[in-house]
Amino acid sequence: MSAVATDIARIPAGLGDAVHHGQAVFRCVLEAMARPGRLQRLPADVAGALGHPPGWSPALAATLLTLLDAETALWLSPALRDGVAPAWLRFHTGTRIVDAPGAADFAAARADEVDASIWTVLKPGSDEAPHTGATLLLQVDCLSDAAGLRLQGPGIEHEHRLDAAGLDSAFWQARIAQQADFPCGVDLLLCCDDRVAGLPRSTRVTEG
Amino acid sequence: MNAATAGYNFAYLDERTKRMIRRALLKAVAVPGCQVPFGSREMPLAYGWGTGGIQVTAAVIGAGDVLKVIDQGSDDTTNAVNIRRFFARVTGVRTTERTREATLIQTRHRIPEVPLTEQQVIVYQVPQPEPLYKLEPRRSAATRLHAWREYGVMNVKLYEDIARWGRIDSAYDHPVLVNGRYVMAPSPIPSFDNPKMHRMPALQLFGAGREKRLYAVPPYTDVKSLDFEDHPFKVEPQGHACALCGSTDTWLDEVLQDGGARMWTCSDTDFCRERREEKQP
Repeated sequence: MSAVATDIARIPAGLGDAVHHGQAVFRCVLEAMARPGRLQRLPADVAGALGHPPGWSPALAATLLTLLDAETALWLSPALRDGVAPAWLRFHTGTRIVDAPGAADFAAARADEVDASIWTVLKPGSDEAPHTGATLLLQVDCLSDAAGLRLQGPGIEHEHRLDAAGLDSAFWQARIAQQADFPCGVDLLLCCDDRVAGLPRSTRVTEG
Repeated sequence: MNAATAGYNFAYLDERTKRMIRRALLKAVAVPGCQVPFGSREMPLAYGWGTGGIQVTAAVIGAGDVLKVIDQGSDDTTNAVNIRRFFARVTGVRTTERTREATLIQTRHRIPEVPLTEQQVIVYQVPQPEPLYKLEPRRSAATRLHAWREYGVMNVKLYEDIARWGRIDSAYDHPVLVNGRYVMAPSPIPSFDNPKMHRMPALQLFGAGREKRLYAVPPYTDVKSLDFEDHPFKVEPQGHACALCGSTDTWLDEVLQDGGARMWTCSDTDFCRERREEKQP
């Protein structure tokens, strides 16, 4: 009994306001997906009231808290699975945490933990049900829209740029190879501190 | 919140339903024009009254939004008045009739005449999300046609229109090709509005409650009305001017008056008001 009580006491808080902050985070993520490469910042009051495990960026924590519940399956990378995070997510969202990335609807990792193979192990959906493709969330140390990859496609008027630290050319080449499978594919959200950028499968990426 | 709405969540839907719709919306944005199934809930309006649009709006709306609701371009028709009052009660957000002031616009069967901006989101109420429904009523078969990008049956329909009538016979709900991949129902907007969807700066969301499907067109996405090289898509001119503001470049409604007289007026009442105010400073 006392062990359980201690565990719950150790779990960090979640969203400061599940209803209104959840809505604000969703709008950030929706904008990020609708305008690939544009950085969206969590509102200051949302980020300020947010609880999350040590080492997690507020953007990654808030996005998972907003989108997950008992209907979703989540895969966490070894670094993110370490410590209190799984208990924290189960407590606040009730999500199922799975061991195989191929079984996940959402997969979260730090950028230094993934390589090109992540694009092929996650669920791509099917031609008849492309919406069942997975969403990959990566926590990166540095995110900029001033240089880097060249992005074109839906949501982009002319061209957007995106530079995410710690993701190598092989990783992006595997992402570019996925474009041939459209409408199947994996959608990417890059999280850095309190900012998030989206890279849906519809975006055509070329290396800058 | 007054006594009548106490006990209801913000925006009526429970948080778990909103999350389900939000996850579906994100996938819909990632695959432009593709219909995504969602668990449509029973709403306090009957199916056919915009329950799909209402659920999408409820999942998106925040306390800081300014909401505009139109039905056939007008803010004052039954459907628009009821939905606007519904959201005013269950969210407390500010509502407006002015297109330029709105951050979120729910619409039945029109796109406002004022060009929408990057700061706006438009939600369409959709009765029949499947553009192939009249040609292939089996959902499972239509889904396969979308998967294979097999739209020959639609081309035959359009060809038969031309063979029979000399023109493509769809004055409204004229099918569009989104991002070069999915044929999509634009909802029953007049063909006049179809060109406004092409590379619109605002995010466009579509909800069909009875059919339990939602879909999206991200900003600046190619939306092409289906046609043939030798029979290009064109908007048939109505050949009238608005009796109130004199406009000849907007979509007009024919209004029957007492005694049988007919009058043509702008369908977009807010735009008509703007034009009239410009003329009478």
